[in-house]
Amino acid sequence: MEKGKLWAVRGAVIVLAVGCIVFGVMREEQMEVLKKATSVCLQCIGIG
Amino acid sequence: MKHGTKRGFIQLAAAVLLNGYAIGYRTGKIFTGKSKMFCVPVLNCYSCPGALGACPIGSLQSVLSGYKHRIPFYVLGTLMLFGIFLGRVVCGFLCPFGWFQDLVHKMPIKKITVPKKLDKVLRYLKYIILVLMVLLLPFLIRDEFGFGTTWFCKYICPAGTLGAGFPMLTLNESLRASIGILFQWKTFVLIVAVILSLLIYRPFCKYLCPLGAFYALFNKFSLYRLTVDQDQCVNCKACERACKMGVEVTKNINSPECIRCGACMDACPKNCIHREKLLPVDKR
Repeated sequence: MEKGKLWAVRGAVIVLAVGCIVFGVMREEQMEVLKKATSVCLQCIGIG
Repeated sequence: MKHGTKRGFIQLAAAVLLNGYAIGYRTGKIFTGKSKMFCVPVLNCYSCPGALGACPIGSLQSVLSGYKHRIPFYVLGTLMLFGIFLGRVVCGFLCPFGWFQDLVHKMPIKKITVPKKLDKVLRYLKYIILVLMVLLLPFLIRDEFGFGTTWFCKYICPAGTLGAGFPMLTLNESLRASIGILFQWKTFVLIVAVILSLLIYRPFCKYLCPLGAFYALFNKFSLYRLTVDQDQCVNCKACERACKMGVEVTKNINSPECIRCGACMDACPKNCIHREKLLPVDKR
């Protein structure tokens, strides 16, 4: 792949990624992640 | 220092840092600090007593299966950033379960080679697991209260069984009382993963890991890429013989299957495999 195209793809992905993170933070999705990650996931440990 | 040796140290450091809540292993209680709102780049169950961050695959499923019926932009964006910067360097250097498989594979037991045709077909399985069990099923299948299930975590993830299931059940008598058929199934999956790791290099990473599947999509474009100096290369194929992931190194070094372990670099007699320069002034 040409360098120019490669950097264009990288730039687009980085912009999209940052945009997704910002949008997600505005919707407080990180708090949903925190809530799930700070309680024991019974499904993950094989209880149900 | 050879890439293999350096990689071992980095894998050890990553496993320790990602699961650094040592008190959790004594008390049987998971870490509940704010750092758990951040996803780590690897498959590392957030119910592991030592885990300091959130598993991205678990987080994806949790948000998708939540009653709010939401697309997990925050987790997806985080994964995309990891992917575009590192690609499958995460698999080769940072993932504790990948490291576990590496260690198991070192046991001096006769190894088997998966037939090429079967291997080729099985490599697509991880993408099917990513789409079906991580993305679609948690989002679409709901109970009467509107909640979904974390399908991959619940029915497959051996990293969760090893890193979270066994320690938490060992440390918590109240949880042990609830062990049933699901735990037996997950233990079976883990045992199969261990046995296969003895015989085949990184079978979970090659065939089943949805996170590896996600990062594989970025290998061609990530900032970390490898290159073969075709002027120096004498086509001896030492690199391909050394590659345990079955990559055709000289033809497709940035293959989605490459976990950037560096075995090819160590094997090359002409030293012609390098990290691709990002900028013209990069003097690597």
